Amino acid sequence: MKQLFYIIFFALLLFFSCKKDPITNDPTPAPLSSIQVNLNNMVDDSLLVLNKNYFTSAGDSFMVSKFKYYLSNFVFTLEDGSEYTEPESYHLIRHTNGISSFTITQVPLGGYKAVRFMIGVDSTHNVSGTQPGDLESSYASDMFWTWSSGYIFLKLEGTAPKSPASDKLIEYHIGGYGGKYKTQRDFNFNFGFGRLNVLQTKLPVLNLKVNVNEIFKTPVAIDFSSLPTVVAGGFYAKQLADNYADMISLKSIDNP
Amino acid sequence: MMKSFYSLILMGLLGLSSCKVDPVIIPVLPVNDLREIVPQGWPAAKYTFSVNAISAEAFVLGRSLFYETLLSKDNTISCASCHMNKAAFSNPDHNLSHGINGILGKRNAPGIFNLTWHPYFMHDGGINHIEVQPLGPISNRIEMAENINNVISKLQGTDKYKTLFKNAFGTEEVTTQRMFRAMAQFMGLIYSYNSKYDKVIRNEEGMVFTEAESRGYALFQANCNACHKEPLFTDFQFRNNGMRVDPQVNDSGRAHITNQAIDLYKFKTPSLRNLAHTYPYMHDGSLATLQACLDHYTSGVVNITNLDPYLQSGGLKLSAEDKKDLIAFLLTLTDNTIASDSRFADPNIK
Ligand code: HEC
Ligand code: HEC
Repeated sequence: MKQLFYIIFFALLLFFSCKKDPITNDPTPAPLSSIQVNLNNMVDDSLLVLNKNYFTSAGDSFMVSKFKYYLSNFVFTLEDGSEYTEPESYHLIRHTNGISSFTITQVPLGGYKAVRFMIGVDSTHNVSGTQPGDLESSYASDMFWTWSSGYIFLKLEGTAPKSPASDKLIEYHIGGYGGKYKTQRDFNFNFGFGRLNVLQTKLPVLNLKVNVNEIFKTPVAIDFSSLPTVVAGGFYAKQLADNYADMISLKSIDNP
Repeated sequence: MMKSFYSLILMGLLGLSSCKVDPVIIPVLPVNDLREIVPQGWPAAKYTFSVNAISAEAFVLGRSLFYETLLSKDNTISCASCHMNKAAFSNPDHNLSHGINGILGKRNAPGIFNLTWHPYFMHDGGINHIEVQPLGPISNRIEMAENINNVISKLQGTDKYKTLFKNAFGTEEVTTQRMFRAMAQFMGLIYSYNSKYDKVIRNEEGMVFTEAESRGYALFQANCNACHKEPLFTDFQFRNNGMRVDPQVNDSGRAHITNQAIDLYKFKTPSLRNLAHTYPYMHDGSLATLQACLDHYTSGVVNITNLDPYLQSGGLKLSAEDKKDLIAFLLTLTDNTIASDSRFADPNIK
């Protein structure tokens, strides 16, 4: 009979342990503050202005009318190597003239020495139905393919004199969340001796430079006359993703 | 005594740890009884409502949206225009669905039932989740041709939807996630498991196959079950069953999504439940009758790229008598409870 009670006891234990969160003895939660992330969308050294003429590295003229992309899964590394992972970290950047920015809130205070994130949306969130926040905005912002489910990770539209498409359009809708043509690309920036200081009272800024011209440059130079549009995942989308894999660079960290 | 005690504990544990729906058989549910169902012997569903808690209010909102013409650009077409309640939510009037301005789509509208088992949607499997499914038809140029922003502002502007969204989600705010989760509740709770076939399989009192149906069932298991797998009557694979490719349309099927040559002209194996309602048949609605479908399998199979190995030696061998028996069996898969269940009916018709 005693044995039986043990069994019931364990059964109950099992039951409760699967339901409740592990009990932690945290006295008070760490104080939290925020980081502002600035995206300086540029063509080489000038800030991107919509519908203005620019030249690719190969010397081809083009204009941009729309430039949007997803940055996600931000992880910041503290001095001691511990990490802060932003929950539900999905940011849709919609270029309007000027610097685009968003704020990551609830970041534990401290000096951060590195950041990593990616362009695109992880495959799990591509296959799990409707999502809140910036992912939900994808439907209204045409950043979701409705006929072949999945987020469009980067969208650049405009015109180029060399384009054979009607109205000289160029359209690059890049996405594809899994398999050999996946188009998420990781970025990892170490701040060297610098630190991004997250304080209670001041808002530090992470300044990133996003160079549109990198999308057309390497490893595969994009020729507007032969590839004016890519509007689905696959071989060409991957080619453009390999190009944008070095589109973002660290410009500066500003501690006010 | 001891033994029964152990089994009690065991059962208790099982019950607790499963936290999921138990396999149940609830022959026709009473009105207002909404619950997730996994009939006995069926595989687990792919979509389980775990993040979309079932409530009568959300279901009512979802139903209202399904029958709502505001979802289309000119406010004339609802989901139910092509997915009719009386026809297991398929479109029996047309071989290809007519959308906005009567423009013809290139595919035939399938029935809507047992959707929670589908790993993907559409004949080419292009849509990967029940919650994002409505985006397809709403934004499709030919179907409803509307922008989701406009849909949201149209709905937000009506007292009816202010109330329905508030009832379902606590505030009047219309968001796509709320819309689509509510619609997933409505569509996902349309189950079909009460056909004569189901009752015979469940050994319900007095339910037996006729001789012709029995012979048909045996023929089905020998010839069709490899693809149209029981109990859902589909294996959810993409296959080519040898339908002629219409050169005008040249529907590449699954390859449209994957861009892979091995997927050319493959389509999702459809369920054979409710065939009595879902005519015409095949992705292009090109076959009008079940007899025509069976004739296709015996003498119409075209040897095109990626024809399923199962059908490569000249299709299936079935006599005229076999076909009669098969049809008798296929008709036992008809479940009239979908049409008679008032929970699924158009709420605008009183
Ligand atoms: C103009 C007719 C039309 C309208 C309106 C329409 N559909 Fe469909 N529906 C279709 C067709 C045709 C298909 C098959 C499409 C394909 O395979 O490409 C389909 C497929 C589906 C499927 C997939 C079923 C399966 O077995 O894969 C679902 C679910 C669905 N529709 C739900 C809806 C919802 C929800 C709405 C309203 C928002 C809607 N439909 C509006 C014609 C229509
Ligand atoms: C090799 C796999 C395979 C076998 C075997 C097979 N089918 Fe099919 N069946 C399919 C596929 C795939 C489709 C969809 C084709 C399309 O949409 O063009 C289909 C479609 C159908 C349809 C049309 C359903 C609808 O709603 O449009 C019927 C009816 C049908 N099959 C009956 C049968 C019967 C009866 C048998 C056995 C005699 C059988 N099939 C054997 C793969 C198969």
